[in-house]
Amino acid sequence: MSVASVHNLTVRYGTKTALSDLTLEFPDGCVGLLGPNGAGKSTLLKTLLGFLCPSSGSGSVLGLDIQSQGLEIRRRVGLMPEQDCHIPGDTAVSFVAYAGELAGMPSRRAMSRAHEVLEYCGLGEARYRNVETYSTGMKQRIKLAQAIVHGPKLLFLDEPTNGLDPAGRTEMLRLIQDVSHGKGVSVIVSSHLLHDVETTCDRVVVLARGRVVREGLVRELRELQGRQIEVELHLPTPAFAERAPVHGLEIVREAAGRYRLRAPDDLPDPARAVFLTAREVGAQVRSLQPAQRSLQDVFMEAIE
Amino acid sequence: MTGASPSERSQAASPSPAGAVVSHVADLTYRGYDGPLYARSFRWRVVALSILRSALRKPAFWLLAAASTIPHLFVVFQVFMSSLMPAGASRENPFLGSGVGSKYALYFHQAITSQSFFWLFLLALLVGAGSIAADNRANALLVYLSKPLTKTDYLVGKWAGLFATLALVTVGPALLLYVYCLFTFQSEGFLREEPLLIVRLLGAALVPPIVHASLLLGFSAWNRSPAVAGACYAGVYFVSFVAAMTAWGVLHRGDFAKGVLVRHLSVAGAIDGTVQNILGVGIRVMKWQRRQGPTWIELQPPDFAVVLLLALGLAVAGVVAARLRIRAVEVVRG
Repeated sequence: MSVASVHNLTVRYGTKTALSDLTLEFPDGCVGLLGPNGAGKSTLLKTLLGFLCPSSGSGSVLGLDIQSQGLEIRRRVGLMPEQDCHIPGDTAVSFVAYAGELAGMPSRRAMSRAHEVLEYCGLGEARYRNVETYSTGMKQRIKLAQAIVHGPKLLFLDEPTNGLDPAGRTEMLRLIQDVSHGKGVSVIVSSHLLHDVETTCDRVVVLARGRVVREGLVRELRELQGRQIEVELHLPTPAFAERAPVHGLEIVREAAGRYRLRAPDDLPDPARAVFLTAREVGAQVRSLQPAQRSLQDVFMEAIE
Repeated sequence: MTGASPSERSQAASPSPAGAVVSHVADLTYRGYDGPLYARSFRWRVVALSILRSALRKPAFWLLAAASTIPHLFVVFQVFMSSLMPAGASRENPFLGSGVGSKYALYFHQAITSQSFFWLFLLALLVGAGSIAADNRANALLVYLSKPLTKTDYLVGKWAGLFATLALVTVGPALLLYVYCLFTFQSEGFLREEPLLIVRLLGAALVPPIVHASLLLGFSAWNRSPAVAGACYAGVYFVSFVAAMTAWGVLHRGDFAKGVLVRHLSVAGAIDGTVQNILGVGIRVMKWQRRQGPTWIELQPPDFAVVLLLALGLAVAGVVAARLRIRAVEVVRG
C-alpha cells in the first residue's frame, strides 16, 4: 500500500525547475530518498506537506490531496526538519509539549506524551534542561521527539543524522529503524548519506536533477548482473588478473590484491576456476565470496 | 498514559532503542497516540497562551508592568490630594490642570496616555519584538507550520497573545483606578455625571495594546533578530512622533489649536488621539511667549474619524505585513 504518491509533479522556483514531471509512489515501511545536493529531495518533502504549490501534476499523502488537504495531511504526518528549530530558553519538555498542543492534543495529554517520547528518544534525563545547552546529537533527538509526539502515521525525516558523531549517528539510526518497523509508522528518510539509508530503509528512491533515476528495494538494487565473486589474495599478483580469463573469469575490478570477477553462466564451478588460476600463478587466496554491490555503487551509477 | 494496542503494551520494559536507561517501571517503547485531538479552531489559543506564558516568566515583564502603574499611582495621589481639599472648593486637578473635558475622564486619559507612551511601549518591545523574529531565527516556523496549523492560526495566536499581555497591563490598573475614583467621588455624583465612563475607559485602555501588538508583529515578522525588530519599531515610533510634533510646531506656530490633527499623525499620536476621542477629553499644552511668558492652550481632540482610521490603518498594516512574511519555507526564486 502506498503512503504517498505523486503523478507528473513539477515544482518550479521561478525559472528553475526543482522537480520535473515526477511520478513516484512511496510504499509503507521505511523509504530512503537519496540524491546529491540540489536533487529535489527537500522540495519533494515540502511539496508533500503542502508548503510548496506544484506548477503541475498532483499528489497525495495517506490518501489526501497535497494541494487541497494540507492541514489534514499535517495532522497525520510528522516532520523532522534538517536545520535546528528550537526556541532559545525553552526546555525540551516544554518544546515537545508545545508541538503536541499545536497538533491539537489537550495540554495535559501533550505534556504526558512529551515525557513519553523524550524518554523514548533517550532524552529522559535531560528533558528539563534548556535546549540551548544540548549537544548536536541531543538536538537531533528532540527534533525527532517533536515529530512523533502526536503519533503520526507517516514521518518525514530530512537529513536526520546531520552533524552527528559516529555514536550519535548509530543511536539515531537505531531510533529510526525502531520507529519504522512494527510500530505502524511509515518513514521517508531524505539523506545524502548512503550508509544511513542502507542501514534503515527497505526501499530507496534516487533523485537527480529533479527526476527519479533509480528506485526499488535495497536488496534488489544491490543484486548484481550475472555471477560475480570477490577474491582477496595474500599479496597483489598481477599475473592472477592476466591468467583468470584463461579459466573463463572476467576481471571487473582490481585493487590492492582484491579482485572482483564475473563468471559466465555456463561456467559450472567459478570457485574451482579461481583456485586453479591462483595455483597456476603461485598466489594464495585469502578469501572468496559472492560479490555484492554497495548502495554507493548503485547511487553513483544512477546519478552518472 | 495514552492508549496503546495490547501488542504494543506487551513490549513494556524492553530496552529503549536509544539504548539509554532500561527501566522495569517505565514503558520506554514507542507507542502511537490515539487520544483526543482538539479541532483546529483551538490552535490559535495554544500560540496565544504560549506568548502569555513566556511573557509572565520574564522578570523584566513584572518590573515593567509594575513601573507602568506609576502614572496610575500618580493619578491616585492627585485624587487623594484633591479629596483633602475643603468641601465646596474646586476639585479640579490641582497639578497643572492638564486637560479639558469630562471631569473624571481626564484622570484616566492622563494615566493611559502616560503609560502608553513610555512604559507600555517598552513592555510591548519586550514581549512583542521577538514574537515572530525569534521563531524566524530559530527556524521554528517550519516545525510549527508542519503541524495542523495555518498561517492565519499562527498569526491570530501571536496577535491575541501579545494583545492580551498588553491589555492585562493597561486594563488592570485602569480598572483599579476606576474603583478608587468610584469610592472617592461616589458622593459627588461620579456615576451620575459620567455613567458610561467605565465603557469609555475599557475602550480607551484597549487602543494602545491593539496598535502596539499589530505593529510589533509586522516588524517582528520581517526580522530574524528580536533586537533589530525592536529597534526598527522604536525608530518608527519615536521618529514619527518627533516628525509630527515638529510639523505641527512649524506649520501652526501662530495658532497651535488649529493644527491638532497634524500633531497626531504618528503612531503615538494616533493612539493618543483615539484615546482622547473615546474618553471625550482634550489636552492643554504650554506655549512659551517671550513677552507674555508661559500660556496654556487648550487643544480639542483631533477628528475622531481620521485618527481612528489612522490607528486602525496602522494596526491592519502591521498584521498584513506579518501575514505576508509568515511562511514555513523560504522560497528563493531563480
